[in-house]
Amino acid sequence: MSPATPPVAEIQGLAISIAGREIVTRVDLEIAAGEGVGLVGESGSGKSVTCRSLIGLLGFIGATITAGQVRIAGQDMTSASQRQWQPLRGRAVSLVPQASLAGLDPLIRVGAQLREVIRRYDRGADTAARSMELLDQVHMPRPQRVLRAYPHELSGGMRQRAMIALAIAGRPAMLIADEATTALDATIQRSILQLLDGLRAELGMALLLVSHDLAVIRSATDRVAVMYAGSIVERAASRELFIHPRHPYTAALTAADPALVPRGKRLRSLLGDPPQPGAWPDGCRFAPRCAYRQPRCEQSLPPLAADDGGHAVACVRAGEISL
Amino acid sequence: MTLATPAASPRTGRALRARRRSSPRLARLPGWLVLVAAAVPVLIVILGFVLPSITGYSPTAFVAQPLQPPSLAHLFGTDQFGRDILVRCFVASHIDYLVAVVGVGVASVVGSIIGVAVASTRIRGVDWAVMRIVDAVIAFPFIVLALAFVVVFGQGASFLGLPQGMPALFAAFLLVGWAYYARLARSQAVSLRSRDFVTAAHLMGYSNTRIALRHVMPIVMATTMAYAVGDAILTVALTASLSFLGAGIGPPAPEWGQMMFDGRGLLQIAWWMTLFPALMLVISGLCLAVVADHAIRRLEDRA
Repeated sequence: MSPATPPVAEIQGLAISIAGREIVTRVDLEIAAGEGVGLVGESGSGKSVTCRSLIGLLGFIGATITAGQVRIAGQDMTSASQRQWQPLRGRAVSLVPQASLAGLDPLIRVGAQLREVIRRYDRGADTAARSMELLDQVHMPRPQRVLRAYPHELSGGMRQRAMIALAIAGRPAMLIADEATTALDATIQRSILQLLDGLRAELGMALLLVSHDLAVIRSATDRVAVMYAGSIVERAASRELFIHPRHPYTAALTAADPALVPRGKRLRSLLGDPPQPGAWPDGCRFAPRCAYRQPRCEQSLPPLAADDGGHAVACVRAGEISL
Repeated sequence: MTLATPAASPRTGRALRARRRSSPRLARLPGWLVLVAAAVPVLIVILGFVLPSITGYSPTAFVAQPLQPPSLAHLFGTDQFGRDILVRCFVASHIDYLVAVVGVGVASVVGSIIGVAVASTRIRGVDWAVMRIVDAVIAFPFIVLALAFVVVFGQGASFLGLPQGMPALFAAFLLVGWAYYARLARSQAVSLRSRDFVTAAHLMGYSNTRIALRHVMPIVMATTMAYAVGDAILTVALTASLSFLGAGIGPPAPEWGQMMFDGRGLLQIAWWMTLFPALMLVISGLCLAVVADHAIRRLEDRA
């Protein structure tokens, strides 16, 4: 993170509400050029909404920013209009949504959809060559045939590769992969995530990876932020976070992941359910499920405090408990 | 980076889906059946053109003794005026099919456009207002409303050389039929609105109109057209019913419903007057049903 170039994306103290209910609270996140950042958390923890705020999609789900700031490439986009977002989308920041048929128009051939997007970024582009280049970058098998195919003729993995090709057509500085592999088979999931990681290095773009697969997050990202109930509970370097978690929630996550628990040791599952979005408890939101809970945990939402190494944790007992 | 698992080829993808679909109760119709079903109506229309000259009987001329049972000279027998029922049956296909194609065709296109338009517009209240009109139209039984329109327009009205009563039928089918298609198209268009590729098109800054025409309309039309083929069956039956009620195509033009109406009082002595037009109607309906079923399945493969 050199101070000369602004981070490709920066969120400060972000709070987002839908229909008067606050679903994201006090989120800070910074993504530097070329950096891989992971975002983990349960469903409903606010990951997707946070991602959407980075590409100006909150209006589409009826959500509004109630506090904080969103900056893209140094530009304040907190209250930007759709028109102001227009030039940034696809170039400064791009999005790969969850794998599904819905991402591609079912009645238009994949090649035509690709050409349309390519032409949008570069009017005079050699669309045929660029299409092949993009399909090659996403390791699409039999690209010539894919260009002539309709989306329903592709497998789920191939469709997602096509979606990624569309997303990187504008050579974005940052790619958001919002659970981009959730609807895919486990084996394909892994290869798509490897592909995203490969593209990050190849194209020098930043990657914001939202996934449930902790092992992949660890290997494909430089830093990870863990979200719980609408706010970030821990943020650290990927190598560090999963080996030395400091927040009880992160510890519980790693203890429940077969890929992170040493062979022969028991997997532990976390009891209870996360609180309903918007109906957060007053204090630490994880307190009701936390094994290390104390009365003072329930007084106020603990701030995310970073140490010298950049390891930030939002737990009042972080210093005194060993996990 | 190398890929640990090559993605499935399009061929295997399709094979997988085909296998998954084999469970439903109704097996997929064989290809030859669909082909036959598509060919039969065409054959009927062609026969309608050539039969009068082959047999030498005009569909409106009195060519033999009235009420003759089927014989080699008159395969389907003759009616109460001595007209050849075989020729009349096949010539009638032109009128009945025309009513079906034009009636359903215009209503489905107009309805689809209205449905997509109200689903896409940002103008407040338009969607609500149009859909309430649709509700009102659909609330009436189709045949009663069509009957009312035919009465209002006048059964005798005729232009462009169309048989008497046909313009009124077209108007009735359009004025009632559009509402069904508008509702179908709107619900489709609304569900498409939240699809990622439509959102993506919005994000790319395309206008509402362009998105409606390029991305929404083709998908909606595919659905409404498949529905329209099925609807055409009903329309043929409805045309016949209206004639039967005395409000459809006026005599002397041959029309299945009218022919059945003529035969109903003579059922005991001249069953052929009713049976053959009814058979033509049933066969046409079955063929269209097979084609419609095939079209809808093709569509589901894509969606």
